[in-house]
Amino acid sequence: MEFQLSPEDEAFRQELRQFLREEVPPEKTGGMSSMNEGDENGGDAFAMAMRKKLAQRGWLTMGWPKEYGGQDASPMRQTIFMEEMAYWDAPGMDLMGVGIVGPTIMRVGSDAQKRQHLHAIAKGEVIWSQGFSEPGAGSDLAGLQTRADLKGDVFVVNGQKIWSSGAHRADYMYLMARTDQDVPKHKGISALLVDLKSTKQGLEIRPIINMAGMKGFNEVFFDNMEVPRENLLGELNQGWYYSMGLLESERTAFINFSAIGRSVIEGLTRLVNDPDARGIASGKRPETRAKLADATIENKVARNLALTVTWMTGKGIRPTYQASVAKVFGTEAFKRLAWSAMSIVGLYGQVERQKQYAPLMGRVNSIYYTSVGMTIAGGASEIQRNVIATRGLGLPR
Amino acid sequence: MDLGLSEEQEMIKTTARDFLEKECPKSLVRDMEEDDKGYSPELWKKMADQQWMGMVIPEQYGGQGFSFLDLAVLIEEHGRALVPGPFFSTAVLCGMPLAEFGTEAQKKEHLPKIANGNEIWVYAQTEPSATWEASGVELKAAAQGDGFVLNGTKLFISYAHVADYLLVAARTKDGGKPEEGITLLCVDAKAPGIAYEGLKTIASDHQSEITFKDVKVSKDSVLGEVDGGWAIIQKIGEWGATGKCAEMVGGAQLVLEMSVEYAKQRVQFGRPIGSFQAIQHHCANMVTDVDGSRYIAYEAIWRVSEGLDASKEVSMAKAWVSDAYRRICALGHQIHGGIGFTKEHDMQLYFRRAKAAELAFGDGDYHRELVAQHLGI
Repeated sequence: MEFQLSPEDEAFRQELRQFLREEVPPEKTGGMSSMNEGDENGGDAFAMAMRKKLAQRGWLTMGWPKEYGGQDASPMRQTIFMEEMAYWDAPGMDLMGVGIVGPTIMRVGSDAQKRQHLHAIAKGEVIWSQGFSEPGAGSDLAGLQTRADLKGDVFVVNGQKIWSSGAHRADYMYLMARTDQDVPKHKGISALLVDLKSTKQGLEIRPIINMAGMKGFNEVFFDNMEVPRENLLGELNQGWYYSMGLLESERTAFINFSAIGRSVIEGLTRLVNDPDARGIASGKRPETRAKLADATIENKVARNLALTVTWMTGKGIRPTYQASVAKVFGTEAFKRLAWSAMSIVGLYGQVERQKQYAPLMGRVNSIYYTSVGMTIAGGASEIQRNVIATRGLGLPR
Repeated sequence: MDLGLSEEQEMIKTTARDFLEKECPKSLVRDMEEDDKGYSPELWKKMADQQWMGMVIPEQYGGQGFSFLDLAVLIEEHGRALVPGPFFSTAVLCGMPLAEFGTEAQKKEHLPKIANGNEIWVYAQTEPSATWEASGVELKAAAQGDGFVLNGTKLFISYAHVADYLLVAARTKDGGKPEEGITLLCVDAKAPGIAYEGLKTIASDHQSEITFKDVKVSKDSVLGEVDGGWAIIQKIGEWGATGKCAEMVGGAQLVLEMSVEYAKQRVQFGRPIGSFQAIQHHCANMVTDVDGSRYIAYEAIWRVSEGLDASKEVSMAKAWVSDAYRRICALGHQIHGGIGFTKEHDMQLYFRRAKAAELAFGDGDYHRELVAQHLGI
């Protein structure tokens, strides 16, 4: 056992920190939220510029093989990258393109698809969105009903997607649709790569304003939208099985929860110690001390659970239930932190992201919102617990 | 970063598990709860033959020279098997400070006997003041001639009645800060003036009230410096708290396994109760707590073992694991239903020891406050 980074990994972390200190002014932080903010306040343009800078340094796709523009970086190196980006709340990450679409195209895509998409993702030039969930298919994703009927050289798509993150400004969508109506539900799904910008007909994207008042999710309607046959990813009716690998590509992202949490805890610690910070619970109060101690300990537990997944992946051990454990604990601890943070800042916690009066530049208020979605998105806590119990502990279904 | 056990540690773990499954069945654990001595001298001898007592003692003093991290792997298995007796106190709480802070004469005299199982040592810090803080040490050691005279009471001390030696925290100087003026003394447990009164306690761990009435100890029985005992006590606290964490992780792992197994077997409404999501989610929460406990415990153990500054991590681990083990037992009980509430069932053995381990070397509240101090709040 060894609970510390190798000197090389530690040096990489320092390099990254230096870069982030220079590149991300405090008012531009908000990586996790600003990517969802649409075009407001130029957040988008800054995020995309940042993404290109990450790409130029080879960091954006560091986990990819060299032949596709990556660095073959270890899962630990990737985790450090994720952790630092999240800690600094820096925009520019691309979980969808880099973490999900790219690796799947590498695995099952055609040569033409690889040529068209991989370098564009690696250079940070394109935005991908997902078309997975539907109004009637959330946790039971395989029950999706959007259909894609092959007619000649095109798939004709009809149906509706929902919770498509970033679709309102995306260039492409990774779409899962039913291509065979007559087989068990998992066996009739295909994956299509949809060019949203060049699709002129049969496509409507309506942003859903989330409860924090931000654009992020979308409803997407398909009315006889045509997708060229060559945009089928891999084989017909194998889409569900490709999606099974998707979460695995996101494994190094579990570190995000503890990384954001740690920066919030540090900010709160400064606040409660500040004798001039009026209206903030004093660090002398036992309740405050217990809350921050609890949050610190839970943060450590969450980080260790995320690192376990990274470590196993690096050793070539397939995490069966550990990824779900990291997700459930990380997101639920984050929510508890948000509650504690709001209670510590008292009346000021009501003030939304603005310069004056909003503690930690509105971050406390903002995580109070975002923490709600974290325990739902990417497999709700309840679904994760089912996975832990059945796949991890072998309990009967 | 390496979160796995080494090959050697895997071997320690497997060997210990096999040995204890054979030599320390639950029937023995139950017998020892009622036994006068509270431990089995036969098992003690066999454990010594496994060279467990001397595992971390340097080879020149008859030990094996393993690290504290290696020992923690063994202790985890003790927690799983609920090994009764003074092993933890002898090997961890006394053996380790003797090896690190003892004089050459003390080490030569005692370490080989600890290693071969011939000396039982018990650490005596707590008193009726019932706190782990320095202010709690009130037992007086007054300088007299070439030594000290002890007067006072130690309380909550496990297996003291079978000890050969007591490692006693005593107050040698008043005034000043509570941390100053404390001295650790190696005391012959059978010395005149020492009396033991047994307590019936939740973990059946044979605790005693020990009264010291004009007990004479020589000057060369001091461990470390006169009036300088608190630094050693803090170190013992780190070994003790993290060692207890390893023990709790071992117990928690077994409670999880026992509960999952029961959920698979127990049929109600025509199906195994483990097929109900209410039960599945209990199990999922248990394994989350077990895994979370394991890594935060071993991170602290690793730091202690490597000699790094560990006090914050130790408090984080002890606070977390103490509470997690209690939660794990609570869910295990819920899954087992009525049968788990019986004396016949093994759940109660773990439930009771979980509480004692939680209290040992500071509970969650105690260590959370220390964490807050470390944060600089």
